[in-house]
Amino acid sequence: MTILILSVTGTLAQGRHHHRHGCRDYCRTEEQPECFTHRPITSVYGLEIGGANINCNYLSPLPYAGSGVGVYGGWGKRMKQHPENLVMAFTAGLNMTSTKNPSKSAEMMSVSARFGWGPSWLHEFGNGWSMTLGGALDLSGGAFYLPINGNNPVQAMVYAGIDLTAGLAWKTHFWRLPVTLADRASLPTLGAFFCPQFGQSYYEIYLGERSGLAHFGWWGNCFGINNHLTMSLHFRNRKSLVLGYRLYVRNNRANHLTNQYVTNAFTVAIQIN
Amino acid sequence: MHLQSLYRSIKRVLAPVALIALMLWVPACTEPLTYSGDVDDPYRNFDMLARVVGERYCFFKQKGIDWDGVTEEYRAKVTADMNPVELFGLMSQMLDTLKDGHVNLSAPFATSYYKKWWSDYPQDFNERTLQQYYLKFGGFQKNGMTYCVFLPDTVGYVRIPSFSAQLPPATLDYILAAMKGTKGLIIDIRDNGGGFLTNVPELVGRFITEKTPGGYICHKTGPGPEDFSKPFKIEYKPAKKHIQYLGKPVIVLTNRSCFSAANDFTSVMKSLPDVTILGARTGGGGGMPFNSELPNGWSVRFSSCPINNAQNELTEFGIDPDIEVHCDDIDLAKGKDAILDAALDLFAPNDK
Repeated sequence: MTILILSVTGTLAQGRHHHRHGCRDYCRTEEQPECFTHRPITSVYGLEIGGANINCNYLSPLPYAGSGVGVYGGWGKRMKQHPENLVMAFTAGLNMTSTKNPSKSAEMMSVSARFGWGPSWLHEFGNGWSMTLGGALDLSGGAFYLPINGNNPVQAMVYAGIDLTAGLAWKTHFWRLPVTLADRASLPTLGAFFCPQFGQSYYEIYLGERSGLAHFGWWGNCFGINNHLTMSLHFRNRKSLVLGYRLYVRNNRANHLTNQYVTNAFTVAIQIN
Repeated sequence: MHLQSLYRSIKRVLAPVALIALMLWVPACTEPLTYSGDVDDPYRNFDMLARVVGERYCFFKQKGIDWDGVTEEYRAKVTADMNPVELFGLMSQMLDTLKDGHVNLSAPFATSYYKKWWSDYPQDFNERTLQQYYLKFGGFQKNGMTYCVFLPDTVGYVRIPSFSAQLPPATLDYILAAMKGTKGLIIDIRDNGGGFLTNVPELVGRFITEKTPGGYICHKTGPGPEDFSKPFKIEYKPAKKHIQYLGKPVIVLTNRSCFSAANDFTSVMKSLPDVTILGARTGGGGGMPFNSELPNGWSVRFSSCPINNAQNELTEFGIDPDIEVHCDDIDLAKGKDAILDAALDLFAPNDK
């Protein structure tokens, strides 16, 4: 589960052109001569649905596959210090999955939430191309739940760290409709994550044995990515329909345990500039 | 003009291609998360069972089991055309070599269960005898527990036949409030096969005034046979916000069918100064179990975290009583429960 920072920073990049149009129109009223320093909030509200794969060898040695749904949102704003190039975004998301083991005899469910906050540098190349680079604080957590495991039914996932974020966007037209194609990715880079010992029960943690539960995470033991390919259809009323595909990967390895969580989801969102 | 037009065309084509290529790069970084192969293949299922238990079971050393040798012996009996019932039988036999009541193999049609930890010993208890001749089919019952006060010696009695449900603190408050005027308390956990370990601190907290070490727990830190954590001391806290039973003698009645959480309860209570364990050695089950599963969907349960007593000694093989008493089956049939009688006798002499 990751961060959707770039969903918003990207949409800010997309929305800039259209915002200028809107702003010029607004200036004609001469009521807001400082309109170029006006920094509107860009909001994105979306749903996602798709496939999910989980491999959590604390709960089972077998991979689980199924489907998942989620909601996400993002709120972005250009920063006062450098409104042309610096954008700040806050993102949040909630996902649920339902997966089955290879013999389809057991179901593993998961619930997870994610929050992100961070700045990105926006650069426009011209000809409709732009890119963003930045970082974000990432806080995500959730749990896998396997009811058939009477004694160890749950594995928790908690990650806190810093993500690198990057994106590429291309503004074009589909017939006369402004369209933006974008791909944005965020990578958890440095942080800490929770993982119990190989055979440690949560009862033991409850009793107070909490040594060795937090692990330093980097790409070598905690690889993840949130890659979102989108096509935004911009309408005249400063609203956009954003259709996309998201690949979300979270892997961590510690104490001989592996947690792998992958979702492939189609996304649909409303973006309000 | 032609060159500019060509450049624009290439750019329009290359842009989506670049984006799609970026998308394709990401899946290449992830591992496949699908299971390939026949989930019902006997060899695959056998090997998975052998591996899971081999990596995670915690009492090989204490029981002197050569797991590699065991699996080699039983794998030789696996055939590709075995039906599920035959495979289940073979796997169950192999798991029985662990001699552990916490080990089960569960298939849709059956669950294996090692019974010899209690079946080779006298039962030392008869529910009918207790209910008919001692409780007169009376007493108060709540949340699976039965309690009463035996007269004329005003000895409190609480029967806890199972820990399979969480004991509500409020119910324990009511029960211990009812025992306020008693000179002592008998806790009868005979035939208690265990359940929620969290019932142990809930109960023990009613009999202590300060933090009390009750045992040690450790876990596997890796798949190797010697990969264990250092024992972690388990401390129990007094339930000061609830009704306690302090300063009076407590007798815990046990038999061979006390297992798992009941075994742990016995182990902790035995370390308390006012408590006497009376009856027969408990059945053990001193390893907290874990679950896992096989490709065909069968699940397996096994001991994973050893729980030792306050002296850091193994409890897997049971807890010896302070006073050993057994019940004769014929006497039980006639209405005489020698273990309960012995407990009541311990209170009676004070008045005589």
